[in-house]
Amino acid sequence: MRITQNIIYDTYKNDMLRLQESIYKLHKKIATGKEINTISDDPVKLPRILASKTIISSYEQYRTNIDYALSYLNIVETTLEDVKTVITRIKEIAVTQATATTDSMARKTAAQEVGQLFDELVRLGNTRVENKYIFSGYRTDTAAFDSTGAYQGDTAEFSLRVDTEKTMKIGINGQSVFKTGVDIFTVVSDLITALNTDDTDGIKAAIDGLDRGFNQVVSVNSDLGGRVTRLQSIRDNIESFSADVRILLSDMEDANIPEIITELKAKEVSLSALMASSAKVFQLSIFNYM
Amino acid sequence: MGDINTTFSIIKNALLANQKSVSVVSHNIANANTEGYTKQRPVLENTGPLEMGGLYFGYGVDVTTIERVYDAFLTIQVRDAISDGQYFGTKSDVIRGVEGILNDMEGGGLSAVMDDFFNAIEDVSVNPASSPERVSLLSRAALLTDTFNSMDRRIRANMDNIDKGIEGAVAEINDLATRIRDINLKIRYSSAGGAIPNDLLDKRDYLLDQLAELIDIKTSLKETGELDIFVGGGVPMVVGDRVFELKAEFEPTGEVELLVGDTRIDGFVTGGRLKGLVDGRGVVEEGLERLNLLAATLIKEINLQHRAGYGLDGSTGNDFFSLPPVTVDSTNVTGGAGFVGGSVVDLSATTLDDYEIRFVDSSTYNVVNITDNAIVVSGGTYTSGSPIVFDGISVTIMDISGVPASGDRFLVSITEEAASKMSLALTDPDKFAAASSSTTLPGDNTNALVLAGLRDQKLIDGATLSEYHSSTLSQLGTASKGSETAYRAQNVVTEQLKMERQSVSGVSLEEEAMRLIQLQRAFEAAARVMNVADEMFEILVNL
Repeated sequence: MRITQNIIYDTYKNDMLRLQESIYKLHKKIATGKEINTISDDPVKLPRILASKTIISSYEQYRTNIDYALSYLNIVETTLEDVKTVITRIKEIAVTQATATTDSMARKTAAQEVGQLFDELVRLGNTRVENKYIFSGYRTDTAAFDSTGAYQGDTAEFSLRVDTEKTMKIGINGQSVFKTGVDIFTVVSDLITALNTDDTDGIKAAIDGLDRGFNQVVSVNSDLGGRVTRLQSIRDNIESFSADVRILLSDMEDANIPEIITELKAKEVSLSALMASSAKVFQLSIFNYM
Repeated sequence: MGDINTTFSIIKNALLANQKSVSVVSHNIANANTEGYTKQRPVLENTGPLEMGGLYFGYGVDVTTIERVYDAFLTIQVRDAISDGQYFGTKSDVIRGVEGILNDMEGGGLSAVMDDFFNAIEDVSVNPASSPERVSLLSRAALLTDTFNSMDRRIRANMDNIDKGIEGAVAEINDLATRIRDINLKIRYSSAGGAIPNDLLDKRDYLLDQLAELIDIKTSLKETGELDIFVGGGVPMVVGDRVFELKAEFEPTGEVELLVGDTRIDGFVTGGRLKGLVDGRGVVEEGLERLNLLAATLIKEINLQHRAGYGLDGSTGNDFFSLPPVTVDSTNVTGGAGFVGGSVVDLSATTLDDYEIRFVDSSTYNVVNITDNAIVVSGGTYTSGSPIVFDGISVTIMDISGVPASGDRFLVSITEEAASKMSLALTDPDKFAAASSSTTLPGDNTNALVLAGLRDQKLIDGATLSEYHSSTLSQLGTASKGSETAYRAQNVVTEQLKMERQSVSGVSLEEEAMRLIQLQRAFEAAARVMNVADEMFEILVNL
């Protein structure tokens, strides 16, 4: 092949441009830490990368939702424990006052104490979190119970999205805790009436009611415990799946820095060799000898 | 003959021939770096013979012609390679320009903003009565509409630039064609005398290379030295002293038509920057349409679900996003009627497809869904100014300067400006309809849950919103990468071919320098012969 000056210049120019371009691309990968910097770097992987990012983003949201649900259920649980304690205390009083030996004076005093405990139950039923009544169903701005223990909420129990296409019932309403089956407030107010009127049969009936009421709270509480366990297990799944997706994402888009640096070094060596050789070749000219 | 006088004449020719050759060599050296220059070579021929006394004597040397060292086949190959390379390179550049706008790789892209929007709805579902979550949802939604607006705006700005590029390329092609025609004419006159004007040929080849960068061409060389040019599979562009101008027409459907005279050629053009721009524009246009369909789908689905729910203030039926505007483009309209207004009247009945209102005569029209070619309204009666209603859209056409003509078509779309005009209809955070009933306020989050669940629904083409968006990106990326790869491969071929051409036609300074010395020596030798002849002549004179 006949080699002209232009061929030599063009060859060196094209080779240098190519090397410089690949060095630029390697630098870009190092600077961003990403193997894929534009859509066209790998359009086949791209949908998987974006889908992974969407999964990670939505799973962070589900985690937030679940954390909220867990803290809500935690407060409900604590409140129900308190309710159980109050019911137990009322039952103790009732048991003491049911015996024939106590007199009406003592019963009247006991009635007062039970009255206070009744108020305590109403207060617990009106527990609020962030200004929301937790036992009012959807009527979170309305106290669940009035001072007589009448329910003012609705029967709704709110749900949250806890996973892709999965909503879970989280809310517990005051109706199901205090009213459905045994109306605890009625039992307690009947007890107060019985204490005030020396009605031992009434007191005994109330003890029975309190037992059933206690069991009602216990069964809500255990249902709630089941939900907590389920939520925790969903959260664990989400976290471990998220972690897997993160690893996958990193495999897909993160740059292998040691490999890139090695490649960069090699290219730099090529480029400087090319420059050195071009400098030598460009000096060669027959006119130097004429 | 064969006498001393003859010798003088031979020497004169030799000196002249060598001088002429030196001038060709210096022309070569002078043009060593001139783009498009083809090495020239003097063709020396021995003259004679002349018969004298039964002997044949040579009569010296003459430069009979100066030829170009030229390979016609290589030249055509290079030209085709240039066309192909420019096509792929330009197409890839065009798509790359838009890729930067749609790039989701560095965070903050549309997919991330959509994810954030749905996450914000979920936050409201956790705390439906709380104001901060609602305010935050509205600002997330505003960011989403801003992102759609600015992406659409930037892609359209990019397309305007592409369109300018197309117009520029067409103008350049016509200009080059005219210049080549002019050179053709010069060559015709010059070569009438028999000698070939090499430098004009070089200029023409150089212009042809430039033309090949813009559009793939076929050429045909005539005996007169003129060169005819054909484009788009044999449509003449330069023939003799005539130039047939190329023009580009932008159709309302988004297509670009390339025409020479009335002949449409864009389907037959395969190479060059112009076709790269047109095809790249097609890919960008498709991306833009998909972006708008995504926006329209998001608006439609969110709004329909949002309308079903109730705000904290008990209000219902509210739109979350503003409805997309109805756009109407008149195509082939020859009558006097025009579009005066349109709106979406029943969102749930809309299909997001494009329609055409086609006039059969001045008072009858059909409405055709141009996506599936279904006839939506057949034989509708046109009354000036009364709305034409179909599939949830109302369009008003009115006699402006006269009645509609048969064949008038109006292209109706509600997706065309869905992204660019996307905005929030909801301004009061309390109106966000998280609840499903007015009696379950404020804790009811069920409508918010359904709204949030839309992110998992396959709403467009069997894909979720984010899947659809990522497949848009993937399509663009694939088109851009494909062209880029083809460009690189073609570039190697082009470089190789150019080098081969350079190897044949390029100027080698070493070669010229040696030739120069060779000619100098020959000149010296001839001069020396002249000396000898002179001495011989002197001897004769002094006899």
